[in-house]
Amino acid sequence: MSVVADAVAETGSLVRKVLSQSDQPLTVDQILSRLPAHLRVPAAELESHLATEGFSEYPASRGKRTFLDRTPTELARVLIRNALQRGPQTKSELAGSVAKRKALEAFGRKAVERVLDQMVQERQIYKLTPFVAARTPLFSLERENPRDYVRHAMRKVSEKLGLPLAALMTSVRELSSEFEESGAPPPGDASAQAVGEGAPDVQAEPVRTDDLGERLLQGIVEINPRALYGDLVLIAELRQRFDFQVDKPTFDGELLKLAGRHRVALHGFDRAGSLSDAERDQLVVDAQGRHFNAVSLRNAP
Amino acid sequence: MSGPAVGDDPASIVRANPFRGSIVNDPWGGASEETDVVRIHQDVFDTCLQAVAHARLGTSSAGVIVYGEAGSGKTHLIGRLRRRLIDTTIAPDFKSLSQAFVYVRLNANPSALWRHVRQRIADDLLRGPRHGVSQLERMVVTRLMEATGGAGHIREWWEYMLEECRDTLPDLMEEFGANEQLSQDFVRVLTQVVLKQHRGDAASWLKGMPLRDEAYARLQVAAPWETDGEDESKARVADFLRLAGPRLPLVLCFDQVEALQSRPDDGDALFRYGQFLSDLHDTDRNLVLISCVQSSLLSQMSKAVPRYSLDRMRSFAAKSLQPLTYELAREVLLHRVRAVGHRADSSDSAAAEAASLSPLTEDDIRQIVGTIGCTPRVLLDQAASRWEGGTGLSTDIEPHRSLDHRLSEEWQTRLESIRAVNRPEETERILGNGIRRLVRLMEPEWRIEDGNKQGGLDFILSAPRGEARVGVAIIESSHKRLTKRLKDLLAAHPATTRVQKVVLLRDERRPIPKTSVKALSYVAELEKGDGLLAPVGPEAIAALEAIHQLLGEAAAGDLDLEGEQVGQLTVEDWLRENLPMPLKELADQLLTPVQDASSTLTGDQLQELLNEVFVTSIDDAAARLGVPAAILTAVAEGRRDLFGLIHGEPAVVFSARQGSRCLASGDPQQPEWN
Repeated sequence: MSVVADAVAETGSLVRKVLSQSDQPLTVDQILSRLPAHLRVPAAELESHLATEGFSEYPASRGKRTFLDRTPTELARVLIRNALQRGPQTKSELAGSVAKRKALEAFGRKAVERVLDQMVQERQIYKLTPFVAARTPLFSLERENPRDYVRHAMRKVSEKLGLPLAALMTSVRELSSEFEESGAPPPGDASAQAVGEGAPDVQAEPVRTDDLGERLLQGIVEINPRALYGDLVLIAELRQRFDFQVDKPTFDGELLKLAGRHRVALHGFDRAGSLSDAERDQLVVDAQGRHFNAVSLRNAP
Repeated sequence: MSGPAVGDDPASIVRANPFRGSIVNDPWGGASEETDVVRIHQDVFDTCLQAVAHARLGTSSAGVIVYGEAGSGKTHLIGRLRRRLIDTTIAPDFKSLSQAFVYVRLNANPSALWRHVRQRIADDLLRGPRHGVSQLERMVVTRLMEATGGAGHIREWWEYMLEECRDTLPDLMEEFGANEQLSQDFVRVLTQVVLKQHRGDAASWLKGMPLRDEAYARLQVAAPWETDGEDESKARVADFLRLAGPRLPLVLCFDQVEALQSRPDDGDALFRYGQFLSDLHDTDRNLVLISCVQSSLLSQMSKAVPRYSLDRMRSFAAKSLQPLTYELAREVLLHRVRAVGHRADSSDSAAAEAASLSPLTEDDIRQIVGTIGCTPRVLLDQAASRWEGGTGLSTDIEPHRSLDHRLSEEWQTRLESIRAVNRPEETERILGNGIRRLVRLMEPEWRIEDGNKQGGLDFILSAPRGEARVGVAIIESSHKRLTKRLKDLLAAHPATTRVQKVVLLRDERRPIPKTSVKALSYVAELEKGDGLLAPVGPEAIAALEAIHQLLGEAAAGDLDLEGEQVGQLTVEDWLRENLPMPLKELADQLLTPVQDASSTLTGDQLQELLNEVFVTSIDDAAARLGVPAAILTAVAEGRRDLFGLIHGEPAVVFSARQGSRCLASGDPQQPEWN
């Protein structure tokens, strides 16, 4: 055995390790580049070693032969597992992304789908029940986790109600503490309850019609349900809502009282000088002459 | 003993005032944890962290709007977020990156947002090495290690790679880039960054700054031909996002949205920001996009920003920063006092706390906060005044300085700091931002339009009644690209540019080289007509940047001069009165109407044109004949026997002479198409 052959044999295990860490076939140069300099052998010798030692050969890259320590079926399995680490995916997403890898072009999409089915049978991966209001089954590295279903449902609820995810998360937290306090198991339709919790308090407990402060708070939420979670409402819009019921001094006074009681926060407007009289009339003014254009609920979650 | 131990010197009292210096302009510096009261705006802070956790799932990007008054602590909050996400208080070890943080102050030209954001992303990701390894290097190595299945501690792995596999790293990077669908040029430049080669050139390329041809060659990347860098910058921003990968959230904090506005009623800037942000939101799924907006902008935002954009801006949450209560206000003041070591003793008793705040009293705090609360800035400014007043020296410390004096001092300070760091590579950006500000300042009625790409102009300045249209081209590129651009411009002008005058702006520190023979000949050709090459000196460049900064901060309510918030209109007035001579000259070059051609425009000339084109817009006819639109209109109206005019948008002129092809019946009032 030549000195070069000895070197190849010595580095054989390291080459196998390099290939085992790769999720795509490598050229001889690429393999050599991953070896410590003192263990690099001539490219021709390594190529011959790879060809004779039973490594799988894949389509050439830029005219250079490529090798891997796995067959296309085994490579497909690795790539499927890698893809699923990003989260559950449908069959077409998975098969599409894996089959379009250059190394598996010849292997084909159908073959990838067969590998996928086989992995399901072997319980290496799991075929999940479709999400709520969805039809396509998903594949995952883990069994069904209710958390994924809740997350998906929350996104749907968020889209449907036009509420931010943060708002729904608050509802979920509230629900969770409610269950803990009562010791009762969650009711069957958890998502519907969560939405109910997110709805304005004012609907749960009707306010007295002669209580302007409470009506203003209710008006804020009706104009913008996101205000429950910290978003702003234009005072002009609130004023418009009460235009024929409350005169301006009463309206301003009540909002300032709510601010003094820390029920709402008023937000200053430093451009009042640039407004017309009519526009300025839509702002609240305090005793110091400060103008406010927006209001938010204090201590929103 | 109570209160601070300072000397009798009034100036030393001002310096020792623990409540001075309330504005945080840069979340990478500014307030430290010592002065940060974490209970303030904690709910908003928590929401931002939840948004980061959401983006880490890789299912969708998270948009958060943070509303707040000027001085409510928006930038301070971003600073706190930065400290939580990216700790640079000590040089960090080389460890995997969990998320990346970028701060984008929006003192930018709204039509060049992608360029601005690309630059800010590159700037912040490359920060270091004073604070250790940059975020970008950590990001690249983290992703590379993941992609190659590297094991062990990231630092040791990277050291091994650099030592043993340095020669093959470019190949490895190329493979990684191909898998992640990064552009080839981007990967090549990243390779230079991690190998610490040609770092200056690499940083400039990543920021989108123009480079010399030799620098492109060193980086082994192609020089861009495109003069409008928005598309190119958008593609590079997408590269940065893909580089981060699905599991590594990229947190982009956009501050001072209002600084995009050229005037307080500029809704177009907000519309453009909304468009930009919704595009960015949909570009990838690993983004946290935090928009800090002044609450006084709420009405304008809801009118100017379309619903679909607004929904993306707040896809995760919309929160508002609330005024301080008395308890929080007191806590802020105590933190300040403690941070500068003014505490009288180590006891935590209420009496000791009150003593440490002295000469400020509890009544003072209650008065400042009032019944409905106040912003942190108002609290600190008023506490500072009362603190100095409590020494009995406040009114004697310094005579009250006029706003003019303070603005003048601020202007000088800014100019000096800009001059100290200004480099020609920044000229394109500075001119792009600054010229717009200058024109708004000098001629508020003029319109500024984006230059048409075909014409190779950066923007077009139009007088209100069409009496002048000036094209501006910032020609900062070099050699081949400059030659191509000038050639295109020469071909396009005036038929496509439709302007009466073209001003070519170039940094005078980088004159067109004599070896660029063709480029110089194109300039000469343009100058034979109505072209003008206007070299811009470093003084004018520094002044333009200072104007841009001052007006941006004033618009955002963050220009505070000795406790007084100075508004945009005040700064504009001051600048008009105090504009430095180099900028007056530049404004003259840009805004002086073209030579008055009214005396030479005759009905015959207009008729000659209409014999060829029959019907055209007033603007087009004015551009072709090189006269102001108003004058052309006057000539046409004076000869209704020869010319027909249809007012509207656009106004149209046509030949109304008997037998004209425009007329079916010979009636000058009835063009054929009616």
